[in-house]
Amino acid sequence: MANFEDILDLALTELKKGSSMDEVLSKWPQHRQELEALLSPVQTFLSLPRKKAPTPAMQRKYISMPVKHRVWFAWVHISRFASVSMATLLLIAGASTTAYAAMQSLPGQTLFSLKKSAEQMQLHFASSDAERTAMQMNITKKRLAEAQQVFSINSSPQQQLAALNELNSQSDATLQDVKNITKSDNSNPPIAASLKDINSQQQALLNKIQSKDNSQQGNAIKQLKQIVAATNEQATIIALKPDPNSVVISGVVSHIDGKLIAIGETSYLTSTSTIYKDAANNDIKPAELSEGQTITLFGNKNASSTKITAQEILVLDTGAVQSASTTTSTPFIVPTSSATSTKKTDGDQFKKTTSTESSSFSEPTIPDNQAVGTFIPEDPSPQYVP
Amino acid sequence: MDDTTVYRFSSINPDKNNEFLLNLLSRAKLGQEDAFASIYNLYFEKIFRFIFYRVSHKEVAEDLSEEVFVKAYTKLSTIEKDDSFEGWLYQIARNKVIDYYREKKQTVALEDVENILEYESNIIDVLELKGQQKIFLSLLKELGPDQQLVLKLKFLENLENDQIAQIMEKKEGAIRVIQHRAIIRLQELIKNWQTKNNF
Repeated sequence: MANFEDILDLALTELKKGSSMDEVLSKWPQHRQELEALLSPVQTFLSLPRKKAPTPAMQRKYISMPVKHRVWFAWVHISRFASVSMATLLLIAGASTTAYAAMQSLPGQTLFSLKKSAEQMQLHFASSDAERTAMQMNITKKRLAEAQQVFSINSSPQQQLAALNELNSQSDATLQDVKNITKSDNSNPPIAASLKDINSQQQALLNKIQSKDNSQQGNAIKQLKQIVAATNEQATIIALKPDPNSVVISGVVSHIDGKLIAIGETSYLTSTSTIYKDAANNDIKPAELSEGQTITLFGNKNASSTKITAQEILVLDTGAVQSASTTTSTPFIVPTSSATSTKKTDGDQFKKTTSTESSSFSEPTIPDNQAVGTFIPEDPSPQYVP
Repeated sequence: MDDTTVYRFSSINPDKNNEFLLNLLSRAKLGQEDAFASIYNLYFEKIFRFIFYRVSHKEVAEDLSEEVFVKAYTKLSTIEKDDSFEGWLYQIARNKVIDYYREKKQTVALEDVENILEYESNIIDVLELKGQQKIFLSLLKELGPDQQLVLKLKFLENLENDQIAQIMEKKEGAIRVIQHRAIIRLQELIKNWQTKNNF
């Protein structure tokens, strides 16, 4: 049983909260008399008339007062202006040991917040949404590298948690910026590629940390999983966005002439940057490409001409004879318009195909009454079972 | 609740949201500025009041309050028990007040900092005091320094036992004992006065 000092303390707390004397005394009837005598002066204490304390000036004061020891505090506080000022100082003092240490710092370390402030300042001065998004993606890659580093060294669980929280927070911000920019800009191959890269790194980190016992980072890991899924989804969405300049053609190589490759009657340009891959996604040499092979060609329309330059050629098989131009074996179909077709090109990436083509051999012509694209194989199983 | 929200002062009573505060604190310790900004917003006014009552000057209290949070931010990682954060903050504030008087070259005993310098008159509206209340305050001054301090911190400034314990650098149990003895003594003083004055 609690001693009387504890009971008195509880009774005083009740009284402070605003309970009446009777309410308080009824809770401890066995001590009623004793408590009543002691609570009476306390009631007088609580009833003393109070002055209203002045309202303090907060943010405004230390921003406007450039006192040396307060600069830190101004930076600490929510003021974006002050934060940017400190980050500017950090960048200007780039050669100093502190600045260097800050830039090299990892999440969970004291100087890491300085590093973040410098990054925020850079974002603040981004000239366009696209530039800002690109910066955000670079920062996310930094957070990924830091998280990898933190989990590679013998760091404390607190630091690991800090690294994950920083990564999650930054990934989330990046994803928001990507979503915003892709709303207005349909064609973003660099963003799609960068997001894909981030996604694979996130996945790699997730695999790494999930294999260990990280019970303390449970929520952060759960959040990272959600972010990985969301990033993957966003990367796919961007890849699915119609890009009027991108072309994907599948067919049998009918002719190879130097830099020109013909599929059926249509020719395409290749360049030194064209990537050649086999069905297993391994790089192959251009010389390995030969007539009669079935390929999928990913190309871009040239801005200055009507020619299509191949960015990537994927060799699907090495000799099957198929009708040229627009055949595919993939079962995934997206409904197409008369002039375009969308085809699955690899595991999870889809690109819109336009059949606007040109060739030094012959110009492709598509009859108005001819459908171009892939056929939808009908599911043979009954669709409706009464 | 959105973790990234920076909370304005007065919007939340941190005394009643211990879990919420602990979450903010752990994030602030990791260097998340928005979390520290929320802590600042939650506590600035309380700390300001605590200091203002002791220095009787608004601008000085504002400056000292800012310094309290500068120190809190830089020493955040040294807190061993997150539960004692509020008391720790008040302890920094108390030390700032002592430093302030030392810088002014005023020789003030530590326990007196809380008990003199028109401390009560900054909280209590003296003009509104009734006769009995005036007597009560005069009797309060007859208590020992520790006893006065515990009662004032608890009933004038509305602090909790753990916060008082940190400010006075004593254990919570000791605070309860001092509180008990102080109230008994105060009751005796009131009785004596009533007997003496045939009240």
